[in-house]
Amino acid sequence: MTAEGIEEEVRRLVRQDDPRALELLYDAFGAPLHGFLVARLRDPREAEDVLQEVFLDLARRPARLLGARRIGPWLFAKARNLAIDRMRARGRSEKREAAWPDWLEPAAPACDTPSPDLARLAGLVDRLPVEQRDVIAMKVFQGKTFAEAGESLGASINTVASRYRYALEKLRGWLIAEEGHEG
Amino acid sequence: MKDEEIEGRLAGLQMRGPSMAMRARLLSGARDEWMRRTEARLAFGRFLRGWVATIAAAVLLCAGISWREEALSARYFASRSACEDSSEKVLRAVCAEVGLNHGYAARWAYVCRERRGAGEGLAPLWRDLMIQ
Repeated sequence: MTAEGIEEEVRRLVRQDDPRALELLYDAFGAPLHGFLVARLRDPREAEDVLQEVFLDLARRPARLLGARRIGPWLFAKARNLAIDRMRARGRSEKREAAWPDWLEPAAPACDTPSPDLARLAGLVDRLPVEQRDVIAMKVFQGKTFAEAGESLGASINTVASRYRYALEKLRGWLIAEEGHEG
Repeated sequence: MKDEEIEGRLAGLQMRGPSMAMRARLLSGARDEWMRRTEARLAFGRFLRGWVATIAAAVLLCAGISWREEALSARYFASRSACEDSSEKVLRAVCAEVGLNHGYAARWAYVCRERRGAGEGLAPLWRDLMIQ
C-alpha cells in the first residue's frame, strides 16, 4: 500500500471509530518514529516511552488525524514536541560523552567485539548537535532521501542537506583530529 | 577525508530498532485507551438521549393537555352558541379581541344576565364592564 493509501485507510478507520487504525499507524510509522526518537533522546527506553505517549494521545483523540494534511509529518511533529518536553523535564545535556551510545549498535551484530574505530565513530555521532544527528539518523541509518527527511522533520530540502553537510564536516574534523593525535 | 569515506564508515552502525514485544505492549495500551474513550462517548450519548426523550415526553404531555382543554372549551361554547343571544356573542368577541379568553367572556355574560332587567338596554352594563 502506498503512503497515500495508508493515510486514507487510517482516516477511514478513524471515522468508523475502529482501533485497527492504531495497528496500521504503528506498522507504517512505528519504526521510523522510534528511530527518530532514539536519535533525539539517545536512549532506547526513553524513546519507547515517548512513542507510547504518542500512541496513547492518538487513542484519546484520534479525530485530530482527520484534520492533519499529512499524517506522517503530523506524527513526527508530535513525537518531536514530546521528545523536547521530555528532554526539558530531565534537564538533559546535549553534549554527552559516551563510550558506546545506548541507541547505536554495530550494523553487523554478529560481531562480538566491535572495533575501536567503530566505537569511536559511534561516540562522535552521539556528540553531534541534535539537528545534525536527526539528519544522519534519517539519511544514513533509515535510508531516507533529503525530501523524505525534510518532510518528517518539517524542514526544507536545502535545510536538511545543509545540516547533513555540516554533520559530515564535523565528523571529518573530529576523525582527523583523533586519528592525527594517534598518528 | 571524503564524504563517501565517512558515509562508508557510518554504514557500519545502525540504530537500535523497536522489538516485537514493544509493538505488542504499545498497541495493547493504546487500544485500551481507545476502547475507554469509545465507552465514555457511548455512555454520554445514552445519557443525552435519555434526557431528550424525557423532555420530549413532557412537551408532548403538556401539548396534549392544552389541546384537550381547548377542544373541550370550544365544544362547550359551540354548544352554547346556539342558545346564547347576540349580545353575548358580541361580548365574547370583544373579550377575545382584547386578549381575554372564553372564561372571562362567560363570566361577563353571566353578569350581564344577572344584572340586566327585562327591557333594559346594554349600555349601563357596558359602562360597568369598561370600568371594571
